[in-house]
Amino acid sequence: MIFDYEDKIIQIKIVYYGPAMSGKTTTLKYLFSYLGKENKLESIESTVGRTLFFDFGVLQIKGAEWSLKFLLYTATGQDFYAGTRPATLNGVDGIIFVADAQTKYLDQNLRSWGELKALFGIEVYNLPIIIALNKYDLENGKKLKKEEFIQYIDFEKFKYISINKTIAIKGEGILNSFQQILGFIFPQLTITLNPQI
Amino acid sequence: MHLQEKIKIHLDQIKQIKGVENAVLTQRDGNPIQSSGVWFSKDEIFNVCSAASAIFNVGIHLHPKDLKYILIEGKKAKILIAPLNSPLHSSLNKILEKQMILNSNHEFFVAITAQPNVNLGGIFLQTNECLKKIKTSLITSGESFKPPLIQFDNQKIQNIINGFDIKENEEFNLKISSFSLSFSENISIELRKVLRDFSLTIPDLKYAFISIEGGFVASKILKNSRVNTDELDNISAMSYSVFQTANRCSWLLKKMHTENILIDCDNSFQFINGLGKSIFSSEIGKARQKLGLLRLLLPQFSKKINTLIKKASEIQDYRTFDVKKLLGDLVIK
Repeated sequence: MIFDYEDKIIQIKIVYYGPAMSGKTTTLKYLFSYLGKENKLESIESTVGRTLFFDFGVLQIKGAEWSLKFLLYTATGQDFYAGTRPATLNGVDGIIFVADAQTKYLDQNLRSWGELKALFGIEVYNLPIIIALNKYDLENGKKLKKEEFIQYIDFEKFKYISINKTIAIKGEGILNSFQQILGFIFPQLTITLNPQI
Repeated sequence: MHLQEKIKIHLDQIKQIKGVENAVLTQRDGNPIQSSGVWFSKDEIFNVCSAASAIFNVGIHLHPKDLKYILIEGKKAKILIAPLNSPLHSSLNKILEKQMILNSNHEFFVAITAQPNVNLGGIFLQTNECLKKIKTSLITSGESFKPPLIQFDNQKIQNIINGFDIKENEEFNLKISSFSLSFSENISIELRKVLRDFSLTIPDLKYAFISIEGGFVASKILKNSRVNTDELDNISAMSYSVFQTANRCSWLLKKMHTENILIDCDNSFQFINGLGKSIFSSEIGKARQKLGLLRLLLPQFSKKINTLIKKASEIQDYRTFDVKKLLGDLVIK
């Protein structure tokens, strides 16, 4: 986070993190599309359309005296590019951990969660984190319940953490997660999301 | 002769050039195809190739039409990343285009590590022919070498790196953290003044910016109407991430930190100079600029900027920051 007194801007960085194919890019695309800024999203992707490095976009809001600028990233979920994830995470203010809610992907979710913890060490417990159990609309197979996922992580050790069900492809729970992470970063603020008319 | 054997012969020719330590041909998505030289571990091959791929892809994202090479420099080595589809091979490109077997996609690149005092001009001249031959062999073979997605199992790793020489070595770790910094009005004004002086010293400057840890733009100057603030945010995010990844790549290969990166294009140079955990980046038109002179001037400005950033870190404003008063109730439109 930086506070720029000359331009009167606060900049914060939020990263969508999680295992491959869990819906990080879809989530960010939905957010930008909802706000009518889909053309503001840049992606460094592989030749087969997967996120190779990151997706990136900026949202800015004019406040009373200062402006708030969000730098929004997704980290690559592909294990092949795992080495690039620290570069994307550096300097992050809040993380939205996009997990695949299908029970069969529990191991992948936990592996990604474990990697996140390993990258930050004990500092991870001070980071604002929202866990988004995504793809809750899929009818095939069992889904992870919130309480079930919490059992696998040391949930109570985190200072700012919450868990939501999301359906990125339909936009369900996406705005709520975004508002929640902002609420963790700036508890004093009231932030409302309105689409462009 | 098998395609990979042919490629190995050409890569070995590059390795024989004085000062060159290793050369690896990589598919654009980071799949290592063939290399000369010795690697320290299997992980190193994949980490270096995926990091080089990320750097390369950002390079062609920022400069899609005219990227010539990316040079990463540190105290112990230089790492050169060059597209096989180089604008330098214009006559070969024309022939391949006429045969309809060359498209504008950058499908392959070569990463070369060399000693720090190596003559890069010499490497370019001598590798040019080798790269042309590799390119012809690859394109005419029709092989795509795309990597598997999501994860590799041990068998896949063994298959891919079968022809690589490996020497096992110790693990490494680069820790990351969150970050907070406030720039007082005075520091911001001083940073802007340094950038203004820089723009006056360098006539063909397109833009220059300072990005702080995390990729936040702390100060900028735009001299080219085609680049707006939004685009500069994107360039900053990419340049910062490239620098961080190059740093990791340098650490893996040489246990050194990256000091600066030069992205050489047909019509411009983009410089990314490391300032601890921050960067100072600029793009400069080539019309009236000599690379050697620019490389002499840049460190002077980097030093001034670095001093100011350090000052900002030391003089943190500990006043209670009333975010509610400054921002009010926010509606994101």
